[in-house]
Amino acid sequence: MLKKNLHPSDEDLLLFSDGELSARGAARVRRHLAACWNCRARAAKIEAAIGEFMEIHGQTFGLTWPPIAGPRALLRARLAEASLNRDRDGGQPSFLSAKARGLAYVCALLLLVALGTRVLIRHARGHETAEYGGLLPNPTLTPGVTRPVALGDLCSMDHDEVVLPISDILRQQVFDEYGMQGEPFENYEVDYLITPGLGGSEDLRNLWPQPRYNATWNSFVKDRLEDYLHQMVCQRKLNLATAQKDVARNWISAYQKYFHTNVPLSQDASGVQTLPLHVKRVDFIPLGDTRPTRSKLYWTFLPMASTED
Amino acid sequence: MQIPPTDSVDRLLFVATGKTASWKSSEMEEHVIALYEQFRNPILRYVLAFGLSLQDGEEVAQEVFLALFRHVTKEKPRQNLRGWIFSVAHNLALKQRQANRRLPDRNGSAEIVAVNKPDPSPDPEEQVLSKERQARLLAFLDILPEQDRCCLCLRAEGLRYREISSVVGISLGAVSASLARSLTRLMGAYDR
Repeated sequence: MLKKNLHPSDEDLLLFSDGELSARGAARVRRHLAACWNCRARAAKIEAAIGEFMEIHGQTFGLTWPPIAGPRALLRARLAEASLNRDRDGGQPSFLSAKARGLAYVCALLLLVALGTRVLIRHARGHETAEYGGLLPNPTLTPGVTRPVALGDLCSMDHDEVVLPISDILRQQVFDEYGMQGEPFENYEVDYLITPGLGGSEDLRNLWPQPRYNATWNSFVKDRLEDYLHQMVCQRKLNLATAQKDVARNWISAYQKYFHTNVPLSQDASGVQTLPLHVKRVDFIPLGDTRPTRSKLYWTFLPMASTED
Repeated sequence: MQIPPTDSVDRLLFVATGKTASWKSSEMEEHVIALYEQFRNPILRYVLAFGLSLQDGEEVAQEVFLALFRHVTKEKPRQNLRGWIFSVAHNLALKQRQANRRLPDRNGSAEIVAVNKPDPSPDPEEQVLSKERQARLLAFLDILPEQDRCCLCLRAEGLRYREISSVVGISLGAVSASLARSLTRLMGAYDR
């Protein structure tokens, strides 16, 4: 530290310049600098070095950063998830009274009964689901939801144009609903049960993770059915509500009913000949992106096109 | 962008009142997002000086603010949050660099060059000079001991000595000695 009648060290000058000296120490350095050209020159040199450093530092690391919108949206999603976990787990452990504990036991028992009943009901009506190896959504989780829409609005656009990509947040919520945390996204396509082109809504109860890698009743076959039903509805050959009900109940049965076949038409299953180049369903659109890239589309398209029954 | 002074950061998170206990998650999220908007670039600048790629830097910044969210929701001490934010960034950057060393292909320096701001000077000679100066600074930072480099970069981001001391984990005296040492070396480097 600065001694009386001695020149301040470089460190003292820096502390002074950075405002880190005590009031007394600063006053002493100020007095010294007023009288000593040599130390003023040193202080100026230090200041110049700082100035030079900051200028180049700014140029070197003052980069043109990528826009913040994407990372901010990602952080927002991650915070929302953390909040959910917090709300789920964050309750402080509290001591319940005997009465409250009894009530909790009764609730738990009722819940068990309800769950058991649900399982039994699902088992009773679940033969067709099992028959298609999980290619149909869980009817409890995904009963299908529609939105109020005028037929004119639906038919004013091509079916493909009505379908919106599904956000990452919604996709994750669907996976969570189905208890598929940790499952690789790329093996599934989160799909609308009732497609927006038939008035389906972007609602958790209208979305389910459809396995990609199945050559028979795959997403391309469902696309074909949706295109066809959209066309029929817009030509007034089929009632919209009927189309919605049929797809929601069992889209595979609906395909068999409308195409009069028990197996998908070969060109539908391959997806190669019937799909337009702009494949309508696009997964993995990073937050912040507004348009899918060609490579992502190709990536989505390729595995399905290469499979054979 | 200059980072906000520490007292404004502390005010933002209601240090004194402990009001965060009654906050809804959404309110807390908005505060953390607001801080992220202010600190993202300074943190990127700081962690890139560790040789991380921009992608790794972005991930570090995300992790810092997720950690901040957990920190404030758990009602942990909220004094010197600006220092705390840089401490977490510092530790995560070291961890990431350690992980990258196991992967020989991961190298951030090329990416730094790739996203550099274009030199506004139309004079080609000035552009060459500017590039030389940048290269000299990078070389200078490269040979500085890690602790000195951290102190210098944190001071350049506007942190006070006590904040730097808490981030790097050294005494106040060591911070001032480190900065003085680095500046002396810097002056020597420019004199040459």
